[in-house]
Amino acid sequence: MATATKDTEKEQKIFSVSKSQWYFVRQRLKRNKVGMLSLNYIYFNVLLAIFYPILIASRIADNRPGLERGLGGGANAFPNLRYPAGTDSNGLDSFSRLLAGSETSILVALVATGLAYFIGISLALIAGYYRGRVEEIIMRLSDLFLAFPVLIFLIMMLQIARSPDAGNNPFATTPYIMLVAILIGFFGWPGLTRLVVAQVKQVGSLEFVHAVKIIGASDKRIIFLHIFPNVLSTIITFAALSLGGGIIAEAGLAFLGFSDPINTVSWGVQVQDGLARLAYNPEQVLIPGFTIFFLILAINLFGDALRDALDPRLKE
Amino acid sequence: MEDTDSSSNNHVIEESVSEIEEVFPGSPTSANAEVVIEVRNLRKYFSIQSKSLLFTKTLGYIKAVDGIDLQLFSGEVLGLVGESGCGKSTLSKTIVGLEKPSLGQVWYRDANIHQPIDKVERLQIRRNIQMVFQDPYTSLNPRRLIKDTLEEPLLIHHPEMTKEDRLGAVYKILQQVGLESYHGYRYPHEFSGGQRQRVGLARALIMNPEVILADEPVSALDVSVQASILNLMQDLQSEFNVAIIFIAHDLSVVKHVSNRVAVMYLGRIVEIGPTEEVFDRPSHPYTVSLISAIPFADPTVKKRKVILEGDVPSPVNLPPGCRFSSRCYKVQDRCKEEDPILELKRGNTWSACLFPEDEPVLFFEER
Repeated sequence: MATATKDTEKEQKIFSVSKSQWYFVRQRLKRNKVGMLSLNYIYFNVLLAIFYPILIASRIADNRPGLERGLGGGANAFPNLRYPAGTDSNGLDSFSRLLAGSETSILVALVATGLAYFIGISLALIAGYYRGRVEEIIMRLSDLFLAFPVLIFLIMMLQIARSPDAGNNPFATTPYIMLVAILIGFFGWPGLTRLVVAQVKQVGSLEFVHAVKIIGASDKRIIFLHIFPNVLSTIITFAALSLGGGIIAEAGLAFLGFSDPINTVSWGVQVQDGLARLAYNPEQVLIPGFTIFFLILAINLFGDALRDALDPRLKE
Repeated sequence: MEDTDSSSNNHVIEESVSEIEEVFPGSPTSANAEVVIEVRNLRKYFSIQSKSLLFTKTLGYIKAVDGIDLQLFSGEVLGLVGESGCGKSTLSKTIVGLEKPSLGQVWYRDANIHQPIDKVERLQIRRNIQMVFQDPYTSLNPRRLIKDTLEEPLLIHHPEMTKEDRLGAVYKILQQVGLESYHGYRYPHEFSGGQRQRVGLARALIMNPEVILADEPVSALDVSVQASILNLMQDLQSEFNVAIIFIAHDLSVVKHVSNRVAVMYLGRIVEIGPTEEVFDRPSHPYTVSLISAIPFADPTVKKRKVILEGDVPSPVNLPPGCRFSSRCYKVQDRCKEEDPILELKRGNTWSACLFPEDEPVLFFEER
């Protein structure tokens, strides 16, 4: 009786599905303390970006300096208990603006990365799988995009999209911040494409891809079921860099004045606002600046941890 | 090196092709054998190109496969031997349809492999010609369970099958190749090289094909594992009655498994015939040199020592006349002018040589 149950247990054990490689990736990632800390910090920021409306102070803007001095209110107040990050030159609570800005920054980064990934990966899979003339055209196109003075072009496009000629302008009603995100994404794909094309070519010349071709699988099936899962680790690792790049690009454009400071708040806008009073209230620049810095740092450290975890050479 | 675009290069190649008669060297070993694969004057040239941004200049062609006529009969094992770089792998890739030929055709029964009439015929060809690969470490998708890899052909060719039927077929084929059904729930990295090669065999056999191309299936394995895989292949070959083209550079392996042997040199078949005839009385000097290089663990076996000098000529600039003339020990002036064609020389053996060898290579000394 006892042996019988033992046998069925054993049978269940050998018939259980082996752990996929993602399981081992998760295990390795969990052991990386810096990576996990960074991941938690990113989670924290994302949660803030979602739930910030219940945290922000409902204070009316008061730009008269020195009012409510006991509680540290008024315009350009230093950080205090009531206003943890001080107030800006309009007397608005900087901490609330910081929380609201997280939404903008993260949203822009996600939309830009999503768009860049959609374009980049589609082109890379096509170029790497079909090769020949198709690859040549796509690679030269990516060269063209890499050689572009992107910042100047972005500014130009933003100005065109904002032109008052509302009748002919299809972007007249698009939120400014969406335009920024789409443009950053539209110029963000060439680096990714180059990286992924190389990977796709390498995986595509392996024997298991030949085997599936011989079986008679369609190109769609080979690309999505066989090649894509095998280049996924590269793509995921690159996502960290790309997200950080998106946040920085948005903040940079906002800092240069290409944003919508009336309707949206973002960390870049805050830095730009605080610049005028840098000598008197350096915290107005430093606090949003460091917020950007820490989030980018966390994303990059997590990206490193992910790359280590995905490296098949570190198998145990 | 770039794959030649067959349409744009045809005129170049056609110039170099003089009128070649349609001869199919080699005779079947059994009387009622049908032809399953017919290779007709197959050529595969790769162009060597120098590339700048706008202009591409073709500097020459690597003649990987240079005019092969071959018939594969049902249920036989044809061994294909030759040194590295002689075009064995290119030939096999062209036969399964991974490479497009520069010239010539490959026919599976009455279907042109490279130009199937419709989707049905394409799938029919795909079902019946399978391949076993050399490297067991890259021939299985590392991200998929073995069961999923084996199920895939069934999904493509028999979409009407239920999940239970597919799993049943997977378990059955796993047991036939000497694995257990629970191995289907493992990933490739959990297997040894020999086990992976068994899975590769299972994948090739699950559609019950008529032809299998085995491209050096055991050369990446340990000798002890080699033997078990070879025996398994032989068992399965008779069980499934499948015709196998067995590519190897190890002559003793080929001798062990094959009914007929074809010897390749620089993109051509130089000798083809039944295994015993080719090994006992080789007629092409190249075959003689290959056989004299097999080590025998038997002191009573005496053999002629034929050691080739020099390297294989570049497949870009082939020597005029017989392509073996630069290394042949029997070379004469006529060899440098005349390119020999495959002719029936002795018994059922065909060879392409003007001065075929008459002497046996191996002697058995009486003690």
